[in-house]
Amino acid sequence: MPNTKSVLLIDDSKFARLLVKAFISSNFANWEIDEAEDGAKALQMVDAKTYDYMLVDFNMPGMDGLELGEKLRARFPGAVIALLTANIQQEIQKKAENLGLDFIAKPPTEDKIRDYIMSREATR
Amino acid sequence: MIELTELEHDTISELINIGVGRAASSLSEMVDQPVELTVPAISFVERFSDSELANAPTEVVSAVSQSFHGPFTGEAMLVFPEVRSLELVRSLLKVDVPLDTLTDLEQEALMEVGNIILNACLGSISNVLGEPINCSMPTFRKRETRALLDDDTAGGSAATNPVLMILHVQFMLRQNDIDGYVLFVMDLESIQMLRELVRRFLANSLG
Repeated sequence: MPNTKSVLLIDDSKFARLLVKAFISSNFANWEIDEAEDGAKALQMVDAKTYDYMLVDFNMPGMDGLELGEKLRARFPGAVIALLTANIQQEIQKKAENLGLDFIAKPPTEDKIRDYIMSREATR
Repeated sequence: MIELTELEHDTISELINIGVGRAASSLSEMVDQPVELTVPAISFVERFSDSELANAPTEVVSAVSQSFHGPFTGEAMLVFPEVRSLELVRSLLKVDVPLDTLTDLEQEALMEVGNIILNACLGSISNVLGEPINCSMPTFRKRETRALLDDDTAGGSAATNPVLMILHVQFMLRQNDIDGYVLFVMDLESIQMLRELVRRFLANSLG
């Protein structure tokens, strides 16, 4: 993957961010990966920088991932935004789909994250 | 106490089985090894100390707990012996980290594992019953088994309806010699609601 892309990981779990960051870095060298621990921080960060990919956890303190996803989708219609969550309830999946968000079920694994990004890269 | 027909008992066990099965598959993906499960056991007790799970009362366990709210409410817990928790974290991390970092990350990692496992359980049950269930943020506790369910806040719902349904499934990771269990605790009112939903589900499924 020659060109550099930027990714924002939004998850209150430092552990989850650490894993996903490692999976992306090892497959997409030179990609810029930033992290936010909640929705408010993420909204500040997107004021200063535009991201190609935003991976959003659902269950976070303050704003949940669907509320944040809705705001991000409205501001960045062309970005790839995915809900990356342990909450596999059909209702959540449906809401994500209605907001134009992809859905990735946790746990994140290297294969899952790499395949997801590669499939999205292929369609961009 | 609560009377369940054999079919209701069997259905609740199967619901838990589906939920924990999904959870085991998630855990297995995280640690890259098979996860074995026991058959779910359902018991009703008035106090946690009456439960068979409390037969090693002074053993220190690590537990991740999430309360859930929906048509029924309660608490779901992932519990394992404290002595093995670092080993579990090491299996979960795919990247090598020094021991200091591992220890720093222990609680974070276990909370995220709990979040994934308990949501897999509750999400599957919600999907089967067609009823949304909201989960709180996970919390972590490390304490003796006998104090596992002690409420840290004043007045819990269990205090007014002191019947607990304990649904217990043990899981084992043979390669790391780690075992733990998933526990669902609900009070009387929620047990009755769950039984009602199970009856409706059976009526719909069996036509």
